[in-house]
Amino acid sequence: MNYKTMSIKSYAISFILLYIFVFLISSVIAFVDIKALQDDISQNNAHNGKAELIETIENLVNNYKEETVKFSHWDEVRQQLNNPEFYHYWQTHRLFNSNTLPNYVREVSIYDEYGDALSSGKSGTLPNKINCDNVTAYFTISNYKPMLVTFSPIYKDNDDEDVLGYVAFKSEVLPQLSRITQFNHLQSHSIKALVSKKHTIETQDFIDYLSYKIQLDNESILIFQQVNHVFFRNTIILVLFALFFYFLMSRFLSRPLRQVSTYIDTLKNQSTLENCDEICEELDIQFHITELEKVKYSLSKYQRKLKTVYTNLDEKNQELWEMAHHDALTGALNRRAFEEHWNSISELFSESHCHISLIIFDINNFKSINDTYGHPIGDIVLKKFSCALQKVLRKGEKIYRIGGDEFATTLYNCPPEDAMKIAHHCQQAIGNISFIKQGIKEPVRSSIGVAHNDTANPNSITNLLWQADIAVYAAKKPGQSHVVTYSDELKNISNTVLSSKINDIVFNAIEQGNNITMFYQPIINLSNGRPDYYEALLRIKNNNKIILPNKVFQLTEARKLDYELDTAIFKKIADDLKRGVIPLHSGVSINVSGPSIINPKIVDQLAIFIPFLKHFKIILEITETSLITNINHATENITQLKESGFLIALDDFGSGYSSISYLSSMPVDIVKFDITLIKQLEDEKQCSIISHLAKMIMETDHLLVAEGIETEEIKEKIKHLGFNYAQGYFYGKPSPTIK
Amino acid sequence: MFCKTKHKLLLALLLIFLLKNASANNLVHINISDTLTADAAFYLGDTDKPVVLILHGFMLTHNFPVVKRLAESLYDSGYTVLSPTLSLGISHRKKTLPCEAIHTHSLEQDIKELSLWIKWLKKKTKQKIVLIGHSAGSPFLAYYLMHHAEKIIQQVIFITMPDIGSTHKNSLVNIKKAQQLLQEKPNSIDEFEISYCKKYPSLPQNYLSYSQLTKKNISSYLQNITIKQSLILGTEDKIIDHEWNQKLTQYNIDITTINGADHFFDGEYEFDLMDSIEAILSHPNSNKKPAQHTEKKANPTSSSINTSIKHIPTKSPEKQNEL
Repeated sequence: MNYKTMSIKSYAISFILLYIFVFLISSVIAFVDIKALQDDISQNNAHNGKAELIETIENLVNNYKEETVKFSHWDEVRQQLNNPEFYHYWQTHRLFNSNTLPNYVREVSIYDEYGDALSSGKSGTLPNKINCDNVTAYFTISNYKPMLVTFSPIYKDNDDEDVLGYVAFKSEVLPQLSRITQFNHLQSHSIKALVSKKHTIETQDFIDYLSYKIQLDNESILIFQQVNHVFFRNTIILVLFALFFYFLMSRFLSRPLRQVSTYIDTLKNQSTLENCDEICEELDIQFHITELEKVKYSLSKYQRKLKTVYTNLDEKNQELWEMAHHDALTGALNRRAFEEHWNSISELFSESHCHISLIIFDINNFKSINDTYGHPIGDIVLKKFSCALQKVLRKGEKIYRIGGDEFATTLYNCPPEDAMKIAHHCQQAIGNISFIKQGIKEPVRSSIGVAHNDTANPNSITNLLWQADIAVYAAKKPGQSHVVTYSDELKNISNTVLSSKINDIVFNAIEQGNNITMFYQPIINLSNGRPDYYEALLRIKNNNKIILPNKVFQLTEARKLDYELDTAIFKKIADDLKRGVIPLHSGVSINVSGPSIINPKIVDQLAIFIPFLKHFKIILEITETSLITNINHATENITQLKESGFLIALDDFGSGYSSISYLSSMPVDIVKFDITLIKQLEDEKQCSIISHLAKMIMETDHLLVAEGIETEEIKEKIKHLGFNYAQGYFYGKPSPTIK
Repeated sequence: MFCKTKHKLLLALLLIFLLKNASANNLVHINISDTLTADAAFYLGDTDKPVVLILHGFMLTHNFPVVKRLAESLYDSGYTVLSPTLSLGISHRKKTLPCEAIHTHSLEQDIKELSLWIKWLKKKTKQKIVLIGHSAGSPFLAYYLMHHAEKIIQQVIFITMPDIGSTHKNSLVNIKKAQQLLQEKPNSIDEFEISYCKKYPSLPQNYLSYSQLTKKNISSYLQNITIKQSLILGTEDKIIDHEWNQKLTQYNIDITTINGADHFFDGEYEFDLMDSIEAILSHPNSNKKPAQHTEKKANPTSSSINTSIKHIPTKSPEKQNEL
C-alpha cells in the first residue's frame, strides 16, 4: 500500500492548525457557555434589580411616611391647626426654613380635621381637599418627575386618638432613591419616569412607570473580563507557542532532516566516493536532538564503511577485470580482452587510412607437447612463448592469448613491411627459446599469420581476423614459410575454411555423422592380383554433390577438428563393416590424421574395430609428415594399436622427409609410396633410386604399397621392384560399394 | 447564701426606685381654651412640705435640663413639684419654640396659664406654694406676683433674673416699630428682635407684651412683691450683666451667689444650686429681713448630697438659646 508522504514541516503546520482548531472549538464552546451564564446572570440581575427597586420604593414610601408622621408631631403644625390665621405666613417664611423638613420635600400642605387645606387655593399642586377616610400615599408624575405624596394625621395629643388634622408631603423620588439605597443590581442614575405626566399612581404600580438599567455585576464583569483576558492571553500564548513550536521543528528537526536528506542525495548523485570526506564535512554540524545525532553518526559511520566497501569493491573489480581480461597463465591479455580491443579498433579505425596489421601466432603441435611432456611443461612453453613475443613487440603493443596455443597482436601505424619484420623478429625470438630445461628435445616452432588492412578501403579492417587466420593455416602447411602474409592466393583456402555452407555440412557430418559416405578403393595384392584390402576414403555429400576431400581437410585442419572428423569416419567404417560393405576376410585401410594419432583417446576410439580384427585386416594409415613431426607422441598409441592387432601404414612416403633413418625407427608395418615417387618410376634414373629405396625398405621387413598405379607399365615396374601391394585407377576407382 | 440575700436586696431597691420614678413622671394637662391645652410635669411629694412650682425660661419647656433636674431633685427631697410648660399657643407643646417660629403668644397669656396652674395646684394640694423661676421664668414670676397676690404662695426663688424687654440695644427701635404696626396693621406678623432672638416673627402687641419686662419694670415688680424673694446667681453667668445683678441687691431679696456657676448651673454647680434652694426652702419666713447677700462657694462634695441625680448634662442644645 502506498501512502502519500508529507514533509515534517507540513506535519508541524498540520499539527499547529489542528491544535488551533481544537482550541478555537473549545473556546467557542466555552464562550457559548459563558454567554449563557452571562444571560442567566443578566436575567437574575434584572429580576433582582426589579425586586430591589420595588423594595427600595417600598422603603422610600415608608421612609417618607415616617417623615410625614414625624412632621405631624411638630409643635408648630399643631400651632397652625390651632390658629391657622397666620398659616400662609408660616408656610411662606417659616416652614421651609425651619430645618424640620427633609430636603426632598417640595410641597407641604396641612389639612383640618375635615380634610380641607388650611391654605385652600394656595397649596400648590397638592389637593385642596383630601378624603379623610383614605389618606394613602400615591405617586404622581409631572414633566417626567415622579413625586410621592404622603399623608399623616395630626393628633391633638399624645394619645393618637383625636385627629386634629392632616399633613401632606409632596416629595421628590428619584434623587432620594439612590440616596436611601446603595443599589446592587441597578444603575441608580438610570432610573427615569416613562411618562411625562400622570396624576395618580398607586405605590405598588409605580414600578411600571419607571425605566432603569440593570447594574451589571461587577464581579461577574470582572470574571468575564478576566475570562476574555485569559482567552486572549491564551490565544497569544498559543500563537507564540505555535510559532515557537514551528521554529523548534524547523530548527531542530526539519532542517537537520533536510540536511541529512540532502547529504544522502549528494551521496546518491556521487558516482564515486572520492569526495566523501568533503561531503562528510557538510554534515559535520551539531544537531540538538539525540536521535538525529545518532542518525548522523550512524550515517557517517555507514558512509565511511561504504567507502571502504567501495574501495574494496573497486579493487576487486579491478582484480576481476584483470582476471577477466588477462590470461592467468601467461599474463597476456585474454580472448575477451582481444575481442573488446578488436571491437574498439574496428570502431576507431573503421574510417581510418591508418596502417593496421594483425599478427596471429600459433604454436605448432602444442597439443602433442602437452600430451608428451605434460601440461606443466606445456604451460611453461606458453609462458616463454608469450614472454618472447612481448619482448619483441614495441611499447604499447600488447600480446593477446586468443586460444590454447594461439597469440595475437595488433600493430598501428605500421606499414606492412615493418609488420613483417616484427613478425620475423617474433619468429626468431620464438626459435631462440630454449626448452632444454624442460626436456623438450625437438624445436618448438610457430606458425605466424599476418594480415594488413587496405588503407584505401577503411572497411578492410573487418577482414583482418580471418585473413590472419588463413595466413596461419597456410603457414602450417609443410614446405611453407612459418611466416605467411595473407594474399589473394590464399583466398581459395579461405573460401573453404570460411564457407559457411561447407562449414555447416562438415560440422553436421562430424557431429551427427550425416552426409558421410565412405568410398573404398581396392589395394591389390600383387602376388595374386586380387584385392587384398580397401582404403576407406571420405566423401561428404552436399545435395548429391560430393565436397572434395581436400576442402574438407582444409576446413578441419583450420578448425582443428581432425580428431573429431576421424572419429566420425571411424564410426561410419565400423558401420560399413557391420553392414558387410567390405568383403569378409579382406581388410580396410583407415586414414588417421596427425592430430588424431597423437590423441590419447585414439586407442579407445579405434577399439570399435577390435571385434572386426578376426575377420578383417585393419590398417591405420598415417601420413609421413604427421608421424615424423609427432613421432614421440604417436609411438605409444601406435604400439598399443599394433598390440591390439592393427597394422600401421606410413602414408604418402616420399612426399615429405622420406628419411630412411626415420623409417627405421617408425613402428609401421606398411609403407605406401606416394604417387609422386611412383610417377618418378617412368624416369630410369629416378626408377633406380626408387628401386633401391624400395629394396632397402623391404629389407627392413616393411610391406610396400604403391599408390597411383594407372597404367600396365607402372604396374609391371612395381611388381618387378618387389612392391607387395598396388593401388590406383588401374585397379579400381574409389566406390561406395565393393564389387 | 450571703450573695443570694444581697442580690435580692439590690433587686428590691431597684424595684422601689423604678416605681417611685414612674409615679414621679406624671404629665398633667389643663385646657387653656377650647383648642389649647397645656402640659406640666407633676411630682407628688410629701404633704408636710410646700409645693414647688418651677417655671422654665423663655420659650423652653419643663424638660429643660436644669428645670427637670431641679424638679426631680426637689421631688427626691420630698417636695411636690409642678413644672408646667407654657403652651405659647401650641397644644401639648413638647419642644422649645424656636425664635423663627410664629409667635402668637403674649406675656399675658403666659401669666394666665401660670395662674391656671396655680389654681390647679390649689385644687390639687392644700400646701403652701413656692415659686421657682429659672432665667426668663423669674421676671415672669415677678410680673405674676406683681399682679396676682396669692396668700398660698409662700416665697419665690429666682434663679437668675434676666430682663427681656431691654436686653437688646435695638429694643427701643423694635418697640417703636411694634407700636407703629399695632396702629397700622395690628393683626399682622412682623419680625422683631427680642431677648436672644434676632428674628422673632410676632404680632406687634404680643411683642410689646414681652418687651415690658425691662430692668426698670422688673425692679418695680421686685420692690412690690411682699413674699419672700430669693435670687440665686452664678459668678460666671455671661448672659446677665453684672451691673444688673448688683442692682438687684438693692431690693428685699436674699441673694445667693455660686462661685463658678454660669447661667445654667451645669455640672457640679447643679448640686450647689440644689443645696441653695433647699436651704432657702428650709427658711420660708426670712423674707421680712432686709436684703441679704449670701455667697456660696462651690462644694466639691455636694454631689454626694442627692445620689438620685447622677447624670447631669454639661450643656443641652436648648441652653444655647436659654434665658
